[in-house]
Amino acid sequence: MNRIRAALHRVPLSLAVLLAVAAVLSLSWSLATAPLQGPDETEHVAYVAHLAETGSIPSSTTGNQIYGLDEAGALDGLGYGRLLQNRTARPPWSPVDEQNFRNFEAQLPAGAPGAGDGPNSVAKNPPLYYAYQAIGWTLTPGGRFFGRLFVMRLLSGLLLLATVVFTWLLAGEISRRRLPQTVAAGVVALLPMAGFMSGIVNTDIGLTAIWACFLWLAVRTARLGLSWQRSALLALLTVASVLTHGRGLAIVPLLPLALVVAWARRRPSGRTTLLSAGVAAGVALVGLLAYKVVTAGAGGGLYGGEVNLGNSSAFSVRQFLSSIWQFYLPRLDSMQPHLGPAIGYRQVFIQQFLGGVFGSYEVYLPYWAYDLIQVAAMLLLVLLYTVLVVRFAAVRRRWPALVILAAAVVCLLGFLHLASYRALVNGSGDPLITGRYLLPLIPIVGTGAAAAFAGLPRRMEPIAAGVLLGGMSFLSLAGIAVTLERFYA
Amino acid sequence: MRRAAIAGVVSALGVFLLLFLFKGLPYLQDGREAIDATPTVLPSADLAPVTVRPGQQACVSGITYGPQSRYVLVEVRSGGHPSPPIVVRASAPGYAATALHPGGIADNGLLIVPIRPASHAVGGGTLCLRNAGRVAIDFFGVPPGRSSSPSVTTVAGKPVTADLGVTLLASPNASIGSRLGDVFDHVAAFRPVTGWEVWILALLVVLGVPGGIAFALWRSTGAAPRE
Repeated sequence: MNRIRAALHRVPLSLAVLLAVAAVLSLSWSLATAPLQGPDETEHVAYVAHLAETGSIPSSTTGNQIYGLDEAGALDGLGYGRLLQNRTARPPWSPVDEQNFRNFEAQLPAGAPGAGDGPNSVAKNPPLYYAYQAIGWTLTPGGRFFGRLFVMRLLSGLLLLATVVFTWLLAGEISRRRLPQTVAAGVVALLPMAGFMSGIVNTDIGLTAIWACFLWLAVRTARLGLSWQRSALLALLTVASVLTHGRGLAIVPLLPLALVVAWARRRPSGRTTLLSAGVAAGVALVGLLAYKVVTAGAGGGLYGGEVNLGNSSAFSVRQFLSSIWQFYLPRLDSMQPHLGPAIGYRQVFIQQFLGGVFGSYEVYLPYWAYDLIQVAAMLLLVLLYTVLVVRFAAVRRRWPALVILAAAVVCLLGFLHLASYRALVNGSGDPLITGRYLLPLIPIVGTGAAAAFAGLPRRMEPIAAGVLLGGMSFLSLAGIAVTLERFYA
Repeated sequence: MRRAAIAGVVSALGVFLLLFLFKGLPYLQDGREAIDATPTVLPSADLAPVTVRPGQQACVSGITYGPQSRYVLVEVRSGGHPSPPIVVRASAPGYAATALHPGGIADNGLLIVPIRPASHAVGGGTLCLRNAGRVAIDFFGVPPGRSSSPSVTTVAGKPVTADLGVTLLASPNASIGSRLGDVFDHVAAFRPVTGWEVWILALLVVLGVPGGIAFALWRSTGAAPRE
């Protein structure tokens, strides 16, 4: 107990305050967003319920019903189903409705909450996040549906707090000063989309926390040198990412890269090198076997359509590169029009990621906010580029961190673009790319902002940090307000 | 360093305050419909008109009336001419209210009729709209599917497949700022929190978040680099 108390005393006060801020925002988001109204939240909750109640994963292709009977009652009877994406609808809030639902739950047969055996569209996801949430489902006092949902959302909030901590630590690996750490972790705590996703039940926030931990540990390993313990942890985090979601596969190339960078930085002995590589490979192999064992019989192929690699014969390198170009830049005359709906950098990066789109994509910030965010993002990018050029000598000394973080960006964006292109070229109308898929990169966004400000004259740095974090505080408040208005006003 | 820390705090609080004053306050003061309940929904995409001929009435069952249910809102299609007069009758065990709308609503317009609210929440109610004019009228409804509700819509006593879209309003024009108490009470429903606890959380968001950020900037700007 004394050791825990001593450890808590060592937590920097700035970090403790940022964690309190993130906790307040996450809880606010979880209350502002009506039950079951996050993206695919109905299916994620059904997955957790079935796993918690039966110990097995629902099927993505077969089954008798998607939802447990309590969730189905909430969706159809109480109206949470017709609330989805219909801005004119409101959830029930009358005491009569509450009492009616309690009576409905009381007469459900045993095993009713776990009756949702499929077909569940998210059942192709591996089970790690759902197993985590199943703890909350099982331990919720009273065992009522809405109580369980409340607790599960709180557990998602804990993952945001973990992401804030790992971002703080990551920034601490790159700078010895507190202010960059505060900026980096503050960006994560205040990003409206991160807060929103931490207030619902969705795997993306789990993936985000895992990536944040991986990135910190990879940069730390590069600084301190290879050891079999750090290699094992990095491999374990890689497995955790892969066991959380199909998009978690994008972390796989980062594992060998992180180990190679760490090796190149310190050049450890041959024995240490072999031991580290062997342990990492062993852990990764055990993780792969665990995935195969756990998901056997769940139905559907590897990750189903989420990692849509489809028919390989339809792949065209030229068309793929053109689709990436047109995602970020205007189409050149020599290019064919891109596949799928007209979405690009503005929609995905600015609106859906840095700004945020809430509910099930029907709740928006005012458009002036997205314009402001776009201008701020461009200014930050220009500033970051300038700092990288002007302070090249200092940047070069930190090359391992730069390589790892840049590779993470390339791996995730490359993976998303590839999956999106393959989905579209194989006839899907869904481009499979949206802002929340970028959340694993928020520690890098925060660290990037901190690095950009750190390159400013010392007197300017806190002012720039204040403007950014003050503005983001308001954006978070605005996001919560428009969400409250959509559901409860 | 102390001056730099002050500059950071002032810039964080200043930006937050400026945005709150110029964007947040007007948002809180803007008037809009204050929704009390949506027993059935208005269509967001597919429209299924519910046609009511002169003298007929359309009824929707399964409605809960509460003390804030002060107006009935439906959307009408009158086929190019002004809508006929409509008699609205709200009823539930121990509660009844009747109101008349004189008609004259343009095509695709909103019919908003004040009704006497119930003294307390009462479920199992019915809402009927009687066409008291000489031309038929279409009310907006939703087809069977994800948007439909357990309520049953009848026209002239016979069930129809579409749900007539009914919204109960607390007010046709009220600012969010003036209704925060109601909003927070709504948030607390179906959750293990009370409206007062939501109030406390809201204060923490408005005051604690920018204050916390300013404090974190203050502490970290003045802190010595780690070894």
